[in-house]
Parts: sequence; structure tokens; C-alpha cells
Amino acid sequence: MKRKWLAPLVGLAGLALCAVGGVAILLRPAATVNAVGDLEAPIAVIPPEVVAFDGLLSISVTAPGAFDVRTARPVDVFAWAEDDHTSVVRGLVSWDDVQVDDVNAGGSYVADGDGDLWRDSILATGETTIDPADVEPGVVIVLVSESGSSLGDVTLTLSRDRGNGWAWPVIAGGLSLIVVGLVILAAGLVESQLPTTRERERKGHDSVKKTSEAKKAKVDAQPKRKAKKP
Amino acid sequence: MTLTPMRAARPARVVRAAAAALAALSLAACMPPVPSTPDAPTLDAPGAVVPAQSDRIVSETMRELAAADGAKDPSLLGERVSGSAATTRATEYIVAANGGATPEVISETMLATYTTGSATWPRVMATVAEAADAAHTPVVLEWVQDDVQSEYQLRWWAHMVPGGVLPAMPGQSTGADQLSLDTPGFTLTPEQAIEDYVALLNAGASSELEEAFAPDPYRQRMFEARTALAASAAPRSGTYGDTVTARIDEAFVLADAEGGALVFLPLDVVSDFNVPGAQLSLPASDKALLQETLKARVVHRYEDLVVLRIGAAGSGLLPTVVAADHNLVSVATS
Repeated sequence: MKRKWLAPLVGLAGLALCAVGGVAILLRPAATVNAVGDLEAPIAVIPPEVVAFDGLLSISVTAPGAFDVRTARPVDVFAWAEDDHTSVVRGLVSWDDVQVDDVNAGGSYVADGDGDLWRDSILATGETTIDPADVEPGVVIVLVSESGSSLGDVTLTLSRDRGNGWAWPVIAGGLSLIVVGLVILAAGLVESQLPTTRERERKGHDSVKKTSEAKKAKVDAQPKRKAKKP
Repeated sequence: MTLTPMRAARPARVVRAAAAALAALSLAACMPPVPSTPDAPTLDAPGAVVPAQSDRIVSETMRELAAADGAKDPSLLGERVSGSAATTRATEYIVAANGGATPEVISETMLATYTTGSATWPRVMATVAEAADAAHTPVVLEWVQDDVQSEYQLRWWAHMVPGGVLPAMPGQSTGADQLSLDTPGFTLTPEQAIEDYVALLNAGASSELEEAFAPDPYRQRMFEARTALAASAAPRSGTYGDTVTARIDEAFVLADAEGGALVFLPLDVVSDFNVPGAQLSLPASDKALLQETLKARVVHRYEDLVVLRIGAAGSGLLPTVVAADHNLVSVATS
């Protein structure tokens, strides 16, 4: 009776695990993601903690005109941009959206590209991609529009753990359970084809009885010998 | 057994609910959480000016200086060379044009660069340029950045005194601490060292402070000149005197790597030679600087830089002048 339910239960559990794992694999998110944010100010600041994002593959900036890409010490940049209208990239709101704070809206704008503050400064146009590996750890990336107009947008491209590393082990476990269920089922079927113990015992008793009767008949049928005298 | 329709629907709903829960579970498990912003990494090179920056600053400064030197035109200075450095150079052009010495070319090759790790302004950067020739010693140059929007400008320079030794300084990538004048921890505070040294310069070799500082050729020459000029004025009841004033607001202190400090001390020196009733005469080069008619009194003004080394508390090191220049900037009758 127990085996009758055990096999389907184990099999169903295996199927359920396979289904969960399968859905997880089918619905897995993309391995890389592009999060976008608007840079409304003519100056944008990307602090070192954003550049240090785990899995950050690139920072792309799309601007309508020419702009400078500079780097400097954080303390210097925040003193330099203290009164300027600045877009500060803070991090990720979601996998699709970059959090950008608009600071000092209506504030001043100073381009001064040749200042001694900057460790690096290059002129860029259109879409420009920055490899975080090329940025010295701890420095701030500063984007400065040449014309003073809004910069455009910033895209952070990140690789991410798809979060489904458990799916294949779960599927393997489910398959194992299905196999176990099938084995239990097969064992039950085989067992049902074999005689039960009582039947075997009964058959065994009958055969013993028949054998002893046959032996007795055989003995009776033999001619009796005279005992030899010593 | 026959199932009623209601009973038959129940397992179907259960299956659908289970499937939905399964899908939701899978979805939730699939979507990794949005990472939070990590802590900012520390700077590999926290100094205010890394080599790429200082190279640019030095290069642009020397280019401007070379252009002005070539044309003997001080109006070409001002972007990278300003303040006393520009004033001194302008004076040297006039002196050179009137038979005086040609301005010494300052080498673009820097033997050392000292920067700060400061987060405030004004900031200082100092370099040591190699000697222009065998007749000269290396030159300590001082740049100042007044505020975050300004560029570093060469304001002062001074030749190292013969035998002068600069202390080991923190690496450029780290930058030296830029200290306030009242910072303790030295044989005396920078402020006290400045006050005492200026008092010594004004008082002369007979001052009790003479023993408080290591001997240096800067004050030795000043005292010798003072003695000689005073002696030449005395027979005619004339006087000669030097008035030395520290530009405290323009002084900078950089901590060295040995627990001591380097004090960059700008000085104004006014040398007043007055012989009542006499008609003084001057060399042509000095006369070229004079805008008035020379009579019995002549006043030379100098803008000097003295680089003073002070030791760590307990080191026993006497404050020592390691670099100093006496730069004539004007000649007048009062």
C-alpha cells in the first residue's frame, strides 16, 4: 500500500523540482544590463564609488555636443563645483535606471578646461565610453559641456549574476527523484509478479508432503531383504 | 465514485495556484537584487598634484619665463609667473639692460618636487631645479595656488645655500602635510622660528638669537654689508639700516618625512642709506631703477625668500636656512 503512493509522490516531487528549475532557466535575466540616467546639467560628476560598482563594464555618455572628460580628487571636484549646476550620479535605482541628483539647478557654469585641478582631461564628442579599469581608483570623473548646455544621458553597463545558479542542481535533484520514483514503481511491479511468501510457503508445504508420500511409496515398493546372520 | 462538478474544479484550482506559486517563486529567485552603491575606494595617490600635473605646471611656467626672458619683457609674465617672482624678474631685465648681470636661466630639470595633500587653499608646490651652471647652486622654486579656480603660479625662488641640505620629504603621490604656523611638535613652532629669525636679521650678529640658528651665508652677507655700509656712512654722520619684515600671510610650512618641517618665508627688506648733505652716487644698473633725482638718501627694497628647516621636537637640530635669495626690486630716495 505504501509503495503504491510512494513512487508517484517521489516522481511528482521530482517533476516539480524540474519545473521550478526549468522556469528559472527560461526566465533568467540578461547577463549584462544597461541602466540609463539623464544628465540635465552642463556639468556631471561620477563619484569614485559609482566607478567602483561591482560588475561595472563601462560608462557611456551621450551628449549633443563636445564635452570634456576629466578626473580629479573628490575633495577638489566638490570644491570646484560647489556653486555650479551639476548632475551627480549616485548609483542605481533599478536595473534600468541610474539615480542622478540635480544639484544647484540654476547655478553657475565654469568650463575652465585647463585648470591645474585635473589629473586627466580629454575632449569628447557624441557618444563616449569610459572603461572603469582605465580610471584611477578613488578619483572623480567630471564631464563638462563645452557649450554649457545639458550633457544628455549616462549609461552604466553592468554584468550581473543571473541569480539562477541553483536551477541546474534543482533540475538534477528533480531528475534524481523521478528516477527513484521509477525504480520504486518498477520494484513494485516486479514484486507484484512474484508469489507471496504465504503462497511460497503453501507451495513449499505441498511439495514436501508430496515428496514424503512419494518416498514412502517407493520404500514400500522395494522387496524386503533378509537380515544376514553374523 | 462519481465526482460532482464542484468537487472536480477544486483540484484544478489547486493545480493552477500551485503552478502560479511555482512561477512566482522561480521569477523571484531568478531576479538578482539591484546592488547598492559601494564605499568609495581610497585614492592611490592622494597628493594634490601628481607628476603629470606638476610636469604640466613646470613646463608651462618655464615656457612663459623663457618667452619673457627672450624678449626681456615682463609683460609676458603673469599667467604662470607672478607676484614677487615676476617683480624680481622685471627688475633683473632693467638691471641687465643697464650693464648689470643677465638674469640667470632657471633649469627646467627638477631634482625634486614637493606637493601637499591639502584639501584647502591656498596650496603650495615646491621644486628644486638643478643648478644652471657650476657657478650656481640648485634653486628652490615655490608655486602657489590661491583657490580652487586658480592655477599654480611661480611666486618665489631662492638658491640653495652652499652645503644646504633639504630634508627627506613625503613622496609626491602622497603629498606633504601643509601645516599652520602654530603647529607644535618641532624644536620650536614655525611661527616662533619666523619671529626669532626676523628679530635676528634686524638685530644683527650681536643678537642673543645668533646662537639659536645654525650659521647661514644669507644673514652673514646681510650683516657684513650692513657693517660696511654703516661704516662708510658714519664718518659723515650718516646712517645705514636694514628693516626686515616677514610676510606672514605668504609663509607656508610643509611637514618633512623626518618629523621636522620646511618653512617658506618671504621677507621684505628695506635698506636705507642716508648721509645728510651728501650727493650719493649709484652704479648704472641701480640708477636705472631710480625714478627720482638722487641726493643724500637712497633706499633699496628687496623681496627675499628664505627656506628655513626646523627639526622635530627633541632632535636638537638648530633651525637652519637651506635656501635664500636677496632680490632687489626697487631703488628710491625714500
